[in-house]
Amino acid sequence: MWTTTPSIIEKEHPVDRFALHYVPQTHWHIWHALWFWAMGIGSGIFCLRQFFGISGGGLFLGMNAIDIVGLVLVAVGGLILILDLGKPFRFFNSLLKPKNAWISRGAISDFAFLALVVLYVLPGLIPSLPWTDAVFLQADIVSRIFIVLAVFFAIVIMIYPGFVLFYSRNIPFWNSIFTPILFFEYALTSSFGLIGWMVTANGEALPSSFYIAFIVTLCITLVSVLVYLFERNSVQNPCIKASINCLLKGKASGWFWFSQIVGSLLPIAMLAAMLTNSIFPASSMMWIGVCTVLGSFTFRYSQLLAGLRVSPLV
Amino acid sequence: MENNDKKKKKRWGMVIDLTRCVGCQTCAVGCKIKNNLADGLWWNRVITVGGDHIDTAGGTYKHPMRYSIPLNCQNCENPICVDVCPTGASYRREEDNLVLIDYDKCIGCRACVQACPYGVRIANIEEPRYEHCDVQLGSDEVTPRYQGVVEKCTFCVELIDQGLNPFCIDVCPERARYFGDLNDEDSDVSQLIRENPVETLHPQLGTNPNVYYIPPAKKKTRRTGLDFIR
Repeated sequence: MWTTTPSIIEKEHPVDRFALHYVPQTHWHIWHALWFWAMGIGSGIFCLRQFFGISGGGLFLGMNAIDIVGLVLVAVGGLILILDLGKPFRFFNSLLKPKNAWISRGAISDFAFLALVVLYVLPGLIPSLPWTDAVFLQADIVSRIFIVLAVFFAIVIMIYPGFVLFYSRNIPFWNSIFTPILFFEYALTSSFGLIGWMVTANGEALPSSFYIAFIVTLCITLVSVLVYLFERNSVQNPCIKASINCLLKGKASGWFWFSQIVGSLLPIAMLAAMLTNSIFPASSMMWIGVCTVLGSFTFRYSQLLAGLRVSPLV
Repeated sequence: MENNDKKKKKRWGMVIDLTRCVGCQTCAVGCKIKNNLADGLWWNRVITVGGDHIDTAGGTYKHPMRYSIPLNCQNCENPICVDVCPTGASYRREEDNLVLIDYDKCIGCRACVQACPYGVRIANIEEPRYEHCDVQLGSDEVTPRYQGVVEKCTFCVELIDQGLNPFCIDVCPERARYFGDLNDEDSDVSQLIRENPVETLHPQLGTNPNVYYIPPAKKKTRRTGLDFIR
Protein backbone atom coordinates (compact mmCIF):
# COMPACT_ATOMS: atom_id res chain seq x y z
CA MET A 1 0.00 0.00 0.00
CA TRP A 2 0.97 3.66 0.07
CA THR A 3 2.80 3.73 3.35
CA THR A 4 6.22 3.36 4.92
CA THR A 5 7.10 0.91 7.66
CA PRO A 6 6.35 2.53 11.01
CA SER A 7 9.06 2.69 13.61
CA ILE A 8 8.72 1.18 17.06
CA ILE A 9 8.72 3.31 20.16
CA GLU A 10 8.91 2.03 23.70
CA LYS A 11 6.74 4.65 25.33
CA GLU A 12 4.14 6.80 23.65
CA HIS A 13 4.46 10.55 23.98
CA PRO A 14 1.20 12.45 23.29
CA VAL A 15 2.69 13.97 20.13
CA ASP A 16 3.62 10.51 18.86
CA ARG A 17 -0.06 9.81 18.34
CA PHE A 18 0.23 11.99 15.27
CA ALA A 19 3.00 9.99 13.61
CA LEU A 20 3.11 6.44 12.37
CA HIS A 21 4.45 4.18 15.13
CA TYR A 22 3.98 0.82 16.72
CA VAL A 23 3.35 1.53 20.37
CA PRO A 24 2.85 -0.82 23.32
CA GLN A 25 -0.72 -1.22 24.44
CA THR A 26 -1.24 0.25 27.88
CA HIS A 27 -4.92 -0.40 28.50
CA TRP A 28 -4.43 -3.87 29.92
CA HIS A 29 -1.62 -4.09 32.46
CA ILE A 30 -0.48 -5.91 35.58
CA TRP A 31 -3.97 -5.96 37.15
CA HIS A 32 -5.30 -7.75 34.10
CA ALA A 33 -2.46 -10.28 34.32
CA LEU A 34 -3.43 -10.84 37.97
CA TRP A 35 -7.06 -11.25 36.95
CA PHE A 36 -6.20 -13.84 34.26
CA TRP A 37 -3.87 -15.63 36.65
CA ALA A 38 -6.17 -15.76 39.69
CA MET A 39 -9.16 -16.94 37.70
CA GLY A 40 -7.09 -19.52 35.81
CA ILE A 41 -5.74 -21.12 38.98
CA GLY A 42 -8.98 -20.83 40.92
CA SER A 43 -11.02 -22.66 38.31
CA GLY A 44 -8.17 -25.04 37.42
CA ILE A 45 -7.71 -26.45 40.91
CA PHE A 46 -11.43 -27.21 41.16
CA CYS A 47 -11.31 -29.18 37.88
CA LEU A 48 -8.14 -31.08 38.78
CA ARG A 49 -9.43 -32.03 42.24
CA GLN A 50 -12.49 -33.58 40.64
CA PHE A 51 -10.55 -35.19 37.79
CA PHE A 52 -8.05 -36.94 40.08
CA GLY A 53 -10.57 -37.55 42.87
CA ILE A 54 -8.43 -35.71 45.44
CA SER A 55 -10.23 -35.46 48.74
CA GLY A 56 -7.22 -34.25 50.74
CA GLY A 57 -5.65 -30.83 50.94
CA GLY A 58 -7.05 -29.90 54.34
CA LEU A 59 -10.30 -28.48 55.60
CA PHE A 60 -11.48 -24.95 56.22
CA LEU A 61 -14.59 -24.66 58.42
CA GLY A 62 -15.38 -28.24 57.44
CA MET A 63 -15.14 -27.50 53.71
CA ASN A 64 -12.37 -28.71 51.40
CA ALA A 65 -9.54 -26.17 51.41
CA ILE A 66 -8.79 -26.63 47.69
CA ASP A 67 -12.35 -25.68 46.77
CA ILE A 68 -12.23 -22.70 49.13
CA VAL A 69 -8.92 -21.47 47.67
CA GLY A 70 -10.42 -21.88 44.19
CA LEU A 71 -13.49 -19.91 45.18
CA VAL A 72 -11.42 -17.13 46.73
CA LEU A 73 -9.09 -16.87 43.73
CA VAL A 74 -11.94 -16.68 41.21
CA ALA A 75 -13.74 -14.14 43.39
CA VAL A 76 -10.55 -12.04 43.78
CA GLY A 77 -9.95 -12.24 40.01
CA GLY A 78 -13.49 -11.06 39.37
CA LEU A 79 -13.08 -8.25 41.89
CA ILE A 80 -9.87 -7.07 40.19
CA LEU A 81 -11.68 -7.09 36.85
CA ILE A 82 -14.59 -5.09 38.25
CA LEU A 83 -12.37 -2.54 40.00
CA ASP A 84 -10.39 -1.97 36.81
CA LEU A 85 -13.49 -1.08 34.80
CA GLY A 86 -14.04 2.55 33.93
CA LYS A 87 -17.51 2.26 35.48
CA PRO A 88 -17.25 -0.51 38.12
CA PHE A 89 -20.81 -0.13 39.38
CA ARG A 90 -22.19 -1.04 35.97
CA PHE A 91 -20.46 -4.42 35.89
CA PHE A 92 -23.77 -6.26 35.59
CA ASN A 93 -24.05 -4.79 32.08
CA SER A 94 -21.20 -7.09 31.09
CA LEU A 95 -23.56 -10.07 31.26
CA LEU A 96 -25.70 -8.80 28.41
CA LYS A 97 -24.03 -10.06 25.24
CA PRO A 98 -22.82 -13.66 25.58
CA LYS A 99 -23.73 -14.31 21.94
CA ASN A 100 -20.77 -12.30 20.62
CA ALA A 101 -18.48 -11.12 23.38
CA TRP A 102 -16.04 -13.35 25.27
CA ILE A 103 -15.92 -10.90 28.19
CA SER A 104 -19.65 -11.42 28.57
CA ARG A 105 -19.29 -15.22 28.39
CA GLY A 106 -16.49 -15.05 30.93
CA ALA A 107 -18.43 -12.84 33.32
CA ILE A 108 -21.44 -15.16 33.20
CA SER A 109 -19.17 -18.15 33.79
CA ASP A 110 -17.52 -16.43 36.77
CA PHE A 111 -20.83 -15.82 38.50
CA ALA A 112 -22.19 -19.28 37.62
CA PHE A 113 -18.98 -20.98 38.83
CA LEU A 114 -19.01 -19.09 42.11
CA ALA A 115 -22.68 -19.88 42.74
CA LEU A 116 -22.29 -23.59 41.87
CA VAL A 117 -19.13 -24.11 43.93
CA VAL A 118 -20.64 -22.32 46.93
CA LEU A 119 -23.62 -24.70 46.71
CA TYR A 120 -21.29 -27.68 46.25
CA VAL A 121 -19.11 -26.96 49.31
CA LEU A 122 -21.94 -25.86 51.63
CA PRO A 123 -22.64 -29.36 53.07
CA GLY A 124 -19.20 -29.13 54.73
CA LEU A 125 -20.49 -26.17 56.71
CA ILE A 126 -24.15 -27.22 56.96
CA PRO A 127 -24.22 -31.05 57.06
CA SER A 128 -28.02 -31.17 57.07
CA LEU A 129 -28.17 -30.17 53.39
CA PRO A 130 -29.53 -32.97 51.16
CA TRP A 131 -26.35 -33.38 49.04
CA THR A 132 -22.68 -34.13 49.73
CA ASP A 133 -19.42 -32.31 49.02
CA ALA A 134 -17.60 -35.50 47.99
CA VAL A 135 -15.55 -35.74 44.77
CA PHE A 136 -17.39 -36.72 41.60
CA LEU A 137 -17.13 -40.54 41.82
CA GLN A 138 -18.38 -40.62 45.43
CA ALA A 139 -20.94 -37.85 45.05
CA ASP A 140 -24.72 -38.13 44.83
CA ILE A 141 -26.70 -37.02 41.80
CA VAL A 142 -27.28 -33.43 42.96
CA SER A 143 -23.59 -32.90 43.70
CA ARG A 144 -22.67 -34.47 40.38
CA ILE A 145 -24.87 -31.96 38.59
CA PHE A 146 -23.15 -29.14 40.49
CA ILE A 147 -19.72 -30.58 39.64
CA VAL A 148 -20.40 -31.09 35.94
CA LEU A 149 -21.80 -27.58 35.54
CA ALA A 150 -19.02 -26.02 37.63
CA VAL A 151 -16.33 -27.83 35.59
CA PHE A 152 -17.91 -26.57 32.36
CA PHE A 153 -17.88 -22.96 33.60
CA ALA A 154 -14.36 -23.44 35.04
CA ILE A 155 -13.07 -24.44 31.59
CA VAL A 156 -14.68 -21.32 30.10
CA ILE A 157 -13.03 -19.22 32.83
CA MET A 158 -9.62 -20.76 32.05
CA ILE A 159 -9.89 -20.14 28.35
CA TYR A 160 -11.85 -16.89 27.94
CA PRO A 161 -9.08 -14.36 28.72
CA GLY A 162 -7.16 -15.95 25.84
CA PHE A 163 -10.10 -15.44 23.51
CA VAL A 164 -10.48 -11.83 24.69
CA LEU A 165 -6.89 -11.25 23.59
CA PHE A 166 -7.38 -13.34 20.42
CA TYR A 167 -10.12 -10.99 19.19
CA SER A 168 -8.10 -7.83 19.94
CA ARG A 169 -7.44 -6.96 16.32
CA ASN A 170 -5.45 -3.86 17.27
CA ILE A 171 -2.74 -6.14 18.66
CA PRO A 172 -1.87 -8.70 15.98
CA PHE A 173 0.59 -10.57 18.20
CA TRP A 174 -2.35 -11.90 20.22
CA ASN A 175 -4.41 -12.93 17.17
CA SER A 176 -3.29 -16.55 17.30
CA ILE A 177 -5.35 -19.56 18.31
CA PHE A 178 -2.39 -20.48 20.54
CA THR A 179 -3.17 -17.55 22.81
CA PRO A 180 -6.28 -19.16 24.37
CA ILE A 181 -4.61 -22.58 24.25
CA LEU A 182 -1.59 -21.30 26.18
CA PHE A 183 -3.76 -19.48 28.69
CA PHE A 184 -5.58 -22.76 29.30
CA GLU A 185 -2.33 -24.72 29.61
CA TYR A 186 -0.79 -22.24 32.05
CA ALA A 187 -3.96 -22.34 34.14
CA LEU A 188 -3.54 -26.13 34.30
CA THR A 189 0.19 -26.15 35.14
CA SER A 190 -0.23 -23.65 37.97
CA SER A 191 -3.26 -25.57 39.25
CA PHE A 192 -1.26 -28.82 39.29
CA GLY A 193 1.49 -27.00 41.18
CA LEU A 194 -0.84 -25.48 43.77
CA ILE A 195 -2.75 -28.72 44.41
CA GLY A 196 0.52 -30.66 44.72
CA TRP A 197 1.78 -28.09 47.20
CA MET A 198 -1.44 -28.02 49.28
CA VAL A 199 -1.92 -31.79 49.45
CA THR A 200 1.69 -32.74 50.23
CA ALA A 201 2.00 -29.90 52.74
CA ASN A 202 -0.98 -31.48 54.53
CA GLY A 203 0.99 -34.74 54.84
CA GLU A 204 -1.09 -36.59 52.24
CA ALA A 205 -0.02 -38.51 49.16
CA LEU A 206 -1.10 -37.93 45.56
CA PRO A 207 -1.62 -40.68 42.98
CA SER A 208 1.38 -41.21 40.68
CA SER A 209 -0.91 -40.47 37.71
CA PHE A 210 -1.11 -36.91 39.08
CA TYR A 211 2.65 -36.42 38.84
CA ILE A 212 2.81 -37.98 35.37
CA ALA A 213 -0.05 -35.77 34.15
CA PHE A 214 1.69 -32.76 35.72
CA ILE A 215 5.00 -33.31 33.93
CA VAL A 216 3.26 -34.13 30.63
CA THR A 217 1.23 -30.89 30.87
CA LEU A 218 4.38 -28.90 31.60
CA CYS A 219 6.15 -30.44 28.58
CA ILE A 220 3.14 -29.82 26.30
CA THR A 221 3.03 -26.20 27.50
CA LEU A 222 6.72 -25.71 26.78
CA VAL A 223 6.34 -27.15 23.27
CA SER A 224 3.20 -25.05 22.72
CA VAL A 225 5.16 -21.89 23.52
CA LEU A 226 7.76 -22.83 20.92
CA VAL A 227 5.12 -23.62 18.28
CA TYR A 228 3.33 -20.37 19.17
CA LEU A 229 6.48 -18.32 18.63
CA PHE A 230 7.27 -20.06 15.32
CA GLU A 231 3.67 -19.62 14.16
CA ARG A 232 3.65 -15.91 15.05
CA ASN A 233 7.05 -15.39 13.44
CA SER A 234 5.83 -17.01 10.23
CA VAL A 235 3.16 -14.32 9.76
CA GLN A 236 4.46 -11.55 7.51
CA ASN A 237 3.55 -8.69 9.78
CA PRO A 238 6.27 -6.33 11.07
CA CYS A 239 4.18 -5.49 14.13
CA ILE A 240 4.12 -9.16 15.18
CA LYS A 241 7.87 -9.42 14.63
CA ALA A 242 8.35 -6.34 16.79
CA SER A 243 6.21 -7.96 19.49
CA ILE A 244 8.28 -11.16 19.35
CA ASN A 245 11.40 -9.06 19.64
CA CYS A 246 9.90 -7.32 22.68
CA LEU A 247 9.01 -10.71 24.19
CA LEU A 248 12.41 -12.32 23.64
CA LYS A 249 14.77 -9.37 23.98
CA GLY A 250 12.78 -6.30 24.98
CA LYS A 251 11.04 -5.14 28.11
CA ALA A 252 8.84 -8.24 28.35
CA SER A 253 11.81 -10.60 28.08
CA GLY A 254 12.58 -10.81 31.82
CA TRP A 255 9.03 -11.88 32.60
CA PHE A 256 8.88 -14.26 29.63
CA TRP A 257 12.16 -16.04 30.30
CA PHE A 258 11.27 -16.30 33.98
CA SER A 259 8.02 -18.03 33.00
CA GLN A 260 9.89 -20.48 30.77
CA ILE A 261 12.90 -21.24 32.94
CA VAL A 262 11.47 -21.00 36.45
CA GLY A 263 7.85 -21.71 35.52
CA SER A 264 8.40 -24.68 33.21
CA LEU A 265 11.97 -26.00 32.85
CA LEU A 266 12.83 -26.07 36.56
CA PRO A 267 9.58 -27.85 37.60
CA ILE A 268 10.06 -30.35 34.75
CA ALA A 269 13.59 -31.13 35.96
CA MET A 270 12.48 -31.45 39.58
CA LEU A 271 9.47 -33.61 38.73
CA ALA A 272 11.58 -35.85 36.48
CA ALA A 273 14.04 -36.38 39.31
CA MET A 274 11.21 -37.11 41.75
CA LEU A 275 9.51 -39.55 39.38
CA THR A 276 12.82 -41.34 38.76
CA ASN A 277 13.39 -41.83 42.49
CA SER A 278 9.67 -42.31 43.29
CA ILE A 279 10.05 -39.90 46.22
CA PHE A 280 7.79 -36.86 46.42
CA PRO A 281 8.91 -34.69 49.34
CA ALA A 282 6.58 -31.91 50.46
CA SER A 283 9.37 -29.32 50.36
CA SER A 284 10.09 -30.06 46.68
CA MET A 285 6.38 -29.94 45.85
CA MET A 286 6.19 -26.58 47.57
CA TRP A 287 8.97 -25.20 45.36
CA ILE A 288 7.39 -26.68 42.24
CA GLY A 289 4.10 -25.11 43.27
CA VAL A 290 5.70 -21.70 43.82
CA CYS A 291 7.56 -21.92 40.48
CA THR A 292 4.53 -22.90 38.40
CA VAL A 293 2.23 -20.39 40.09
CA LEU A 294 4.74 -17.57 39.50
CA GLY A 295 5.46 -18.84 35.96
CA SER A 296 1.76 -18.75 35.12
CA PHE A 297 1.53 -15.12 36.20
CA THR A 298 4.73 -13.97 34.50
CA PHE A 299 3.77 -15.61 31.19
CA ARG A 300 0.45 -13.76 31.12
CA TYR A 301 2.08 -10.49 32.07
CA SER A 302 4.76 -10.91 29.40
CA GLN A 303 2.01 -11.41 26.81
CA LEU A 304 0.40 -8.13 27.81
CA LEU A 305 3.73 -6.28 27.78
CA ALA A 306 4.62 -7.62 24.32
CA GLY A 307 1.31 -6.44 22.85
CA LEU A 308 2.12 -3.71 20.35
CA ARG A 309 -0.74 -1.80 18.77
CA VAL A 310 -0.89 -2.16 15.01
CA SER A 311 -0.40 0.94 12.95
CA PRO A 312 -3.73 2.10 11.52
CA LEU A 313 -2.24 1.97 8.04
CA VAL A 314 0.05 -1.05 7.83
CA MET B 1 -41.95 -2.12 -0.34
CA GLU B 2 -38.72 -3.74 0.85
CA ASN B 3 -36.91 -2.11 -2.06
CA ASN B 4 -38.23 1.29 -1.03
CA ASP B 5 -36.97 0.76 2.53
CA LYS B 6 -33.57 -0.17 1.20
CA LYS B 7 -33.53 2.97 -0.93
CA LYS B 8 -34.47 5.13 2.03
CA LYS B 9 -31.80 3.67 4.31
CA LYS B 10 -28.73 5.88 4.42
CA ARG B 11 -25.15 4.70 4.57
CA TRP B 12 -23.06 7.65 5.64
CA GLY B 13 -19.51 7.68 4.41
CA MET B 14 -16.51 9.91 3.86
CA VAL B 15 -14.01 10.30 1.08
CA ILE B 16 -10.70 11.92 2.03
CA ASP B 17 -8.49 13.15 -0.78
CA LEU B 18 -4.91 12.74 0.43
CA THR B 19 -3.60 14.61 -2.60
CA ARG B 20 -5.30 17.71 -1.20
CA CYS B 21 -4.70 17.23 2.54
CA VAL B 22 -1.83 19.41 3.75
CA GLY B 23 -1.80 18.12 7.33
CA CYS B 24 -2.89 21.42 8.85
CA GLN B 25 -4.77 19.61 11.69
CA THR B 26 -7.74 21.97 11.32
CA CYS B 27 -10.15 19.04 11.23
CA ALA B 28 -8.54 17.58 14.36
CA VAL B 29 -8.75 20.84 16.28
CA GLY B 30 -12.22 21.59 14.92
CA CYS B 31 -13.43 18.18 16.09
CA LYS B 32 -11.89 18.79 19.51
CA ILE B 33 -13.66 22.13 19.88
CA LYS B 34 -16.98 21.01 18.46
CA ASN B 35 -17.19 17.94 20.68
CA ASN B 36 -15.75 19.53 23.82
CA LEU B 37 -12.99 16.91 24.02
CA ALA B 38 -10.87 16.99 27.15
CA ASP B 39 -7.09 17.32 27.27
CA GLY B 40 -5.31 14.47 25.54
CA LEU B 41 -8.42 13.21 23.74
CA TRP B 42 -8.59 13.30 19.95
CA TRP B 43 -11.40 11.72 17.98
CA ASN B 44 -9.81 12.83 14.76
CA ARG B 45 -6.06 12.84 14.21
CA VAL B 46 -4.01 13.79 11.20
CA ILE B 47 -1.12 11.36 11.08
CA THR B 48 2.15 12.14 9.36
CA VAL B 49 3.30 9.35 7.09
CA GLY B 50 7.00 9.74 6.42
CA GLY B 51 9.37 10.59 9.23
CA ASP B 52 9.32 9.39 12.80
CA HIS B 53 7.78 12.60 14.09
CA ILE B 54 4.86 14.83 13.27
CA ASP B 55 5.37 16.90 10.08
CA THR B 56 8.74 15.37 9.23
CA ALA B 57 9.61 13.71 5.94
CA GLY B 58 10.90 10.19 5.52
CA GLY B 59 12.46 8.46 2.56
CA THR B 60 15.98 8.89 1.25
CA TYR B 61 18.03 11.70 -0.30
CA LYS B 62 16.40 12.88 -3.52
CA HIS B 63 13.37 10.76 -2.71
CA PRO B 64 11.77 12.37 0.31
CA MET B 65 8.29 11.22 1.19
CA ARG B 66 5.71 12.79 3.44
CA TYR B 67 1.98 13.04 3.39
CA SER B 68 -0.79 13.34 5.95
CA ILE B 69 -3.70 11.09 6.58
CA PRO B 70 -6.69 12.18 8.64
CA LEU B 71 -7.85 9.32 10.80
CA ASN B 72 -11.23 9.13 12.50
CA CYS B 73 -13.75 6.34 13.11
CA GLN B 74 -14.10 4.37 9.89
CA ASN B 75 -17.76 3.51 10.63
CA CYS B 76 -17.21 -0.04 9.41
CA GLU B 77 -19.94 -2.17 7.87
CA ASN B 78 -18.67 -5.08 9.99
CA PRO B 79 -17.38 -3.32 13.10
CA ILE B 80 -15.20 -5.53 15.31
CA CYS B 81 -15.70 -3.07 18.17
CA VAL B 82 -19.43 -3.81 18.22
CA ASP B 83 -18.83 -7.56 18.23
CA VAL B 84 -16.48 -7.54 21.23
CA CYS B 85 -18.52 -5.12 23.35
CA PRO B 86 -19.91 -7.15 26.27
CA THR B 87 -22.67 -4.69 27.10
CA GLY B 88 -24.16 -3.65 23.77
CA ALA B 89 -22.99 -0.08 24.46
CA SER B 90 -21.27 -0.04 21.05
CA TYR B 91 -23.99 -0.44 18.48
CA ARG B 92 -24.93 0.30 14.89
CA ARG B 93 -27.81 2.71 14.45
CA GLU B 94 -30.56 1.00 12.47
CA GLU B 95 -31.49 3.84 10.14
CA ASP B 96 -28.04 4.75 8.81
CA ASN B 97 -25.58 2.12 10.06
CA LEU B 98 -23.60 4.67 12.09
CA VAL B 99 -21.45 3.01 14.74
CA LEU B 100 -22.20 4.80 18.02
CA ILE B 101 -21.61 4.36 21.75
CA ASP B 102 -24.29 4.49 24.42
CA TYR B 103 -22.36 6.15 27.26
CA ASP B 104 -24.97 5.06 29.80
CA LYS B 105 -24.30 1.39 29.05
CA CYS B 106 -20.51 1.44 28.59
CA ILE B 107 -18.57 -0.09 31.50
CA GLY B 108 -15.13 1.03 30.32
CA CYS B 109 -13.67 -2.46 29.82
CA ARG B 110 -11.67 -1.19 26.80
CA ALA B 111 -12.19 -4.38 24.78
CA CYS B 112 -13.31 -2.23 21.85
CA VAL B 113 -10.19 -0.05 22.12
CA GLN B 114 -8.05 -3.18 21.82
CA ALA B 115 -10.20 -4.57 19.02
CA CYS B 116 -10.39 -1.55 16.71
CA PRO B 117 -7.64 -2.03 14.10
CA TYR B 118 -7.63 1.68 13.32
CA GLY B 119 -6.87 2.80 16.88
CA VAL B 120 -9.56 5.47 16.84
CA ARG B 121 -11.30 4.61 20.09
CA ILE B 122 -10.21 6.41 23.22
CA ALA B 123 -10.72 5.32 26.80
CA ASN B 124 -11.69 8.33 28.87
CA ILE B 125 -10.64 6.68 32.11
CA GLU B 126 -9.62 9.80 34.01
CA GLU B 127 -11.92 12.67 34.94
CA PRO B 128 -12.00 14.97 31.86
CA ARG B 129 -9.70 17.99 32.34
CA TYR B 130 -9.58 21.25 30.42
CA GLU B 131 -6.41 22.87 31.70
CA HIS B 132 -5.51 24.73 28.53
CA CYS B 133 -8.81 26.47 28.09
CA ASP B 134 -10.82 28.60 30.47
CA VAL B 135 -14.02 28.78 28.45
CA GLN B 136 -16.63 26.12 27.81
CA LEU B 137 -16.14 24.62 24.36
CA GLY B 138 -18.44 22.47 22.31
CA SER B 139 -21.95 22.89 21.04
CA ASP B 140 -24.98 22.39 23.26
CA GLU B 141 -26.20 19.33 21.34
CA VAL B 142 -23.06 17.34 22.10
CA THR B 143 -23.27 14.98 25.05
CA PRO B 144 -20.97 15.95 27.93
CA ARG B 145 -17.72 14.02 28.22
CA TYR B 146 -18.05 11.27 30.82
CA GLN B 147 -15.30 9.81 32.94
CA GLY B 148 -14.87 6.02 32.71
CA VAL B 149 -16.23 5.31 29.25
CA VAL B 150 -14.84 4.81 25.77
CA GLU B 151 -15.35 7.52 23.16
CA LYS B 152 -14.88 7.93 19.45
CA CYS B 153 -15.84 10.03 16.45
CA THR B 154 -19.60 10.01 15.91
CA PHE B 155 -19.51 11.62 12.44
CA CYS B 156 -21.10 14.53 14.38
CA VAL B 157 -24.32 12.58 14.59
CA GLU B 158 -26.27 15.56 15.99
CA LEU B 159 -25.34 17.62 12.91
CA ILE B 160 -26.17 14.78 10.52
CA ASP B 161 -29.60 14.47 12.12
CA GLN B 162 -30.18 18.14 11.31
CA GLY B 163 -29.21 17.55 7.69
CA LEU B 164 -25.79 19.17 8.12
CA ASN B 165 -22.26 17.95 7.45
CA PRO B 166 -19.89 16.72 10.18
CA PHE B 167 -17.81 19.61 11.51
CA CYS B 168 -14.49 18.32 10.11
CA ILE B 169 -15.93 18.42 6.58
CA ASP B 170 -16.91 22.06 6.78
CA VAL B 171 -13.75 23.33 8.49
CA CYS B 172 -11.26 21.65 6.13
CA PRO B 173 -9.57 24.60 4.37
CA GLU B 174 -8.31 22.40 1.52
CA ARG B 175 -11.69 20.79 0.84
CA ALA B 176 -9.99 17.43 1.18
CA ARG B 177 -12.88 15.80 3.00
CA TYR B 178 -16.24 14.86 1.51
CA PHE B 179 -19.26 13.42 3.25
CA GLY B 180 -22.48 11.92 2.01
CA ASP B 181 -24.77 8.95 1.55
CA LEU B 182 -22.94 6.05 -0.06
CA ASN B 183 -26.30 4.51 -1.03
CA ASP B 184 -27.14 7.60 -3.10
CA GLU B 185 -25.45 7.23 -6.47
CA ASP B 186 -25.61 10.98 -7.12
CA SER B 187 -23.91 12.02 -3.87
CA ASP B 188 -20.43 13.59 -3.96
CA VAL B 189 -18.91 10.64 -2.18
CA SER B 190 -20.40 8.05 -4.54
CA GLN B 191 -19.15 10.02 -7.55
CA LEU B 192 -15.67 10.38 -6.06
CA ILE B 193 -15.51 6.68 -5.34
CA ARG B 194 -16.57 5.91 -8.93
CA GLU B 195 -14.09 8.31 -10.51
CA ASN B 196 -11.00 7.71 -8.34
CA PRO B 197 -8.90 4.70 -7.37
CA VAL B 198 -10.00 4.87 -3.74
CA GLU B 199 -8.69 2.59 -1.01
CA THR B 200 -9.80 1.69 2.48
CA LEU B 201 -7.60 0.94 5.50
CA HIS B 202 -6.89 -2.69 6.36
CA PRO B 203 -9.21 -4.16 3.70
CA GLN B 204 -7.86 -7.65 4.53
CA LEU B 205 -9.67 -7.60 7.89
CA GLY B 206 -13.09 -7.60 6.26
CA THR B 207 -14.38 -4.67 8.31
CA ASN B 208 -15.56 -2.81 5.17
CA PRO B 209 -14.90 0.75 6.33
CA ASN B 210 -17.13 3.56 5.11
CA VAL B 211 -14.22 6.01 4.99
CA TYR B 212 -12.44 5.95 1.65
CA TYR B 213 -9.08 7.53 0.84
CA ILE B 214 -7.82 8.83 -2.48
CA PRO B 215 -4.17 7.85 -2.06
CA PRO B 216 -1.34 10.25 -2.92
CA ALA B 217 0.63 7.70 -4.94
CA LYS B 218 -2.24 7.08 -7.33
CA LYS B 219 -2.22 10.63 -8.66
CA LYS B 220 0.57 12.15 -10.69
CA THR B 221 3.24 13.22 -8.17
CA ARG B 222 4.33 16.81 -8.09
CA ARG B 223 7.93 17.70 -8.84
CA THR B 224 9.98 18.33 -5.72
CA GLY B 225 12.50 21.11 -5.21
CA LEU B 226 15.27 18.56 -5.49
CA ASP B 227 14.36 17.84 -9.13
CA PHE B 228 15.16 21.45 -9.99
CA ILE B 229 18.51 21.39 -8.14
CA ARG B 230 19.66 18.52 -10.29
